[in-house]
Amino acid sequence: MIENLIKKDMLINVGPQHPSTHGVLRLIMTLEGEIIRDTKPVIGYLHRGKEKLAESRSYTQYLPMVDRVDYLSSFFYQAAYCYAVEEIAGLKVPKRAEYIRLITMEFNRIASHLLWLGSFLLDLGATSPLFYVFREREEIVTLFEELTGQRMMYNFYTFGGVKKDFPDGWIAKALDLCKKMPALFDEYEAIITKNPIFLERTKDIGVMTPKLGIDYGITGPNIRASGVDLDLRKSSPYSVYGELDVKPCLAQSGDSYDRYIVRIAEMRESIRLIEEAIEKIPGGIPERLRVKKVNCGCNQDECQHCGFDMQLVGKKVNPIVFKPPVGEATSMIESPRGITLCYIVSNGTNKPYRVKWRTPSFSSVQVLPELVKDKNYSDLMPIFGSLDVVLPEVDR
Amino acid sequence: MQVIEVKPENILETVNSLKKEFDMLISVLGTDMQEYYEIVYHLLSTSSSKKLMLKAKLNKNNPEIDSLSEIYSAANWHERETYDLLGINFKNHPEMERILLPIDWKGHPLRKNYINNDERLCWNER
Amino acid sequence: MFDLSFTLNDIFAFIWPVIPFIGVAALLVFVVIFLVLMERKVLAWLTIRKGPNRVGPGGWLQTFADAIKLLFKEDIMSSETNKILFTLAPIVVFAPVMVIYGLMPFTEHLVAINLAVGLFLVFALSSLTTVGIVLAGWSSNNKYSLLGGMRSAAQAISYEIPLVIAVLSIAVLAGSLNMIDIVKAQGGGIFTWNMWPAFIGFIVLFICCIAEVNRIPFDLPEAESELVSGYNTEYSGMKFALFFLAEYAAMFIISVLIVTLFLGGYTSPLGFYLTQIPALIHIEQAFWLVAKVYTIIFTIIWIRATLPRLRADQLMAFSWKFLLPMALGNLVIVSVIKFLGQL
Repeated sequence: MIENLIKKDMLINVGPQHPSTHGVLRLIMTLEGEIIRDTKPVIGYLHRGKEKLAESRSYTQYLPMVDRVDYLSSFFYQAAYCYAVEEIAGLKVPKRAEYIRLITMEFNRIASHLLWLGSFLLDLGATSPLFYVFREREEIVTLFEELTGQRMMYNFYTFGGVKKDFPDGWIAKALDLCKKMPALFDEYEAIITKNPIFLERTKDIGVMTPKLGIDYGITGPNIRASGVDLDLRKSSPYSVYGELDVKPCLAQSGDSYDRYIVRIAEMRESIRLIEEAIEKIPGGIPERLRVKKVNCGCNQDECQHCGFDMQLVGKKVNPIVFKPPVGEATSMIESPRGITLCYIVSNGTNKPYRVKWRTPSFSSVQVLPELVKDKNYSDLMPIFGSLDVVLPEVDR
Repeated sequence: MQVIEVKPENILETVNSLKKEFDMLISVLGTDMQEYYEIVYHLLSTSSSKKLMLKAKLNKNNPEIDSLSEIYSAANWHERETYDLLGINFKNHPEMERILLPIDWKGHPLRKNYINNDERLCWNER
Repeated sequence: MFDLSFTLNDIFAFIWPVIPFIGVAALLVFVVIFLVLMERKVLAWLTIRKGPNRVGPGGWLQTFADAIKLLFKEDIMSSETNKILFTLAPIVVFAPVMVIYGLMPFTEHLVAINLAVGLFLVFALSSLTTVGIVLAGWSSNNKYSLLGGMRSAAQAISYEIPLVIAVLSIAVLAGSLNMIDIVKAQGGGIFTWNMWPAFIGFIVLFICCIAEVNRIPFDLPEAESELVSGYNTEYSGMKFALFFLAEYAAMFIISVLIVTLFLGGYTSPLGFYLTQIPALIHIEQAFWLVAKVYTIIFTIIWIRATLPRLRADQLMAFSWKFLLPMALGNLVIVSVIKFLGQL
């Protein structure tokens, strides 16, 4: 403190309540004029003890809580948890269920990126994009509501599958939305991508070199903007991503602008993936599946319409006596913000012995001091905003 | 996923030799295994997406292991979190203090013998 | 003994200077209340929302409700503030804006103080506002407020210069600093407006005026995502309302200024008045002025809905490296045009 006073530096406390910390992050900053000399992030204001809570709940009871780790990409956290439990319990997931998971996850990725886009531009001072993204997000959320009954915390996946099939007409609506979306992305690009002020604010700001990013464990779009082709959907496919053609969305320089470009490209890519998945989904649209099932009734595994792959839940688990065998499992999936890791240790009871969440935002906050060092204080917002940090995810 | 068991003393050497291929540290976590503390490192290769799990068993009375923060910067916060929640000491760590819980918190919640007697949390039992 | 007419004259002479100020104050409050509503409605329209639609028919009374709320709010002053300066700051911000209202010609005869150097006084007064903002920033004893105040000072200094140089070209064109004279010189319809010979100056002035009233993309002193709310972070209740009032009043008056200097002021763009009766001509003049002013204001709101915010150093660079040379070049062009016209 005294040292700071001598150097005429200003100690400024950004947060925990501050409009652009996306929740309750606290940054203790030393400013010299308006130049940031030192940053110390303080986290933990949203710590809800998700890992401790798992110890006293059965596997199924813990499932809805997983949604709350990151409220913007609930499906991904459910998926990570389900994959880990399924690996311990040795449950096989029907292919149709996997496709439903994939389609909902990709829609969720778009919704998450859209909200990021709005809040990022809001950080830069442009208010309109926030309202425009909510227009599209609303349609995705409406689709989710129709499917799961919830608008935010879906609680839709179960161990060994999903809870129910698409309702009648859902696939048609989803396809309609997929057709509409690219034109809307063009609209954003028209207002944002070539805006000279936006370019001034984000180009060459917060450059993350591949070395720095890898050293700090940055994953997801943030590292792909630096030119590192790390996408688990492609390199180690977990769901049925292996059957689809996932194209990498890369940029080279790793500045805030590239992180924006990568996310926009990823949204377009997600739409393509959804369309491809809807084409390939076994059984096709639910109405036809139902009719065929009535007619079929052969109960053979190889049958095109009533085999294991057509089901939604492979092996229904009893919520109370579901006891996976002793063991441990790790699942890593590519969430909108990066690699989400779920590590579960089971001791043979119906409660998980240890659940660990590794969240991508945690690393993004850790790297922030490196990125904002010796930058203008105004650059904090384009840098921090472009990292797409969701604070509940950091603190768990 | 490949699993390698290491002795706590050899962790630095092992990781140093692995660093070339597995250039990203995904997470550091600890588990209270009743008789010992187990510490798990998840490593990932960004070029080939190969995953690796390193495990080390720590003595229950004096859980101590060398910090990896010199090798991977990412280890800094993950190790702080492990210290915070499980009370494992990382030697030569630049700032070994709590990260998620308040700085004046007592005890380490993820230890199985942890009894929550903090008055701030007992509001529903009073 | 008593001369009744003298007494009446005396009373009249005493009251007469006060009347315009009462009129100005009433106009100001009315304008601000309408402007806030307009901004919210237009922004809502541009961002596919409904905007205020609960208080009164179609939400038209929303601003009255807001104003009443602000009046009744508790006036919080933190213990570490400099009490005198903290109280003084909103007044210092508000008072010059109010005086400028008296200097503006709203119609040919509706100008409260018609000075020979009206234009000069307008710019002298408008730069006083910055003092108030710096005072507010400093006396709040809040680091965000201080940063906001400092930014405001830096911004005002760098934008005042191209602004004044752009206005100089008008003085050259009109050959006068009197506002009425400036308007009368462009009374012959849309093609006699100063906008055409001094087009670059018009653009420069427009940009500088947006910066002067701290609107997006130049709203750095109150950049909410960086400085919480900038210089007025610590203010509440009526003191905050004064800042708010001053901001919107300044936005209106700066639009009047742009219109007066470049777009023919209260004169008709057609070159002749639609009505011939003198009393109606006044109303028509007011109508033309208001129409032009609200076009400008709509543009400012439109810009706010479109653009993100600049960074402090980019803002300075833009002013010194781009606007200042443009303004100087404009002055040269206008002088040459004027010189050729006199030959």
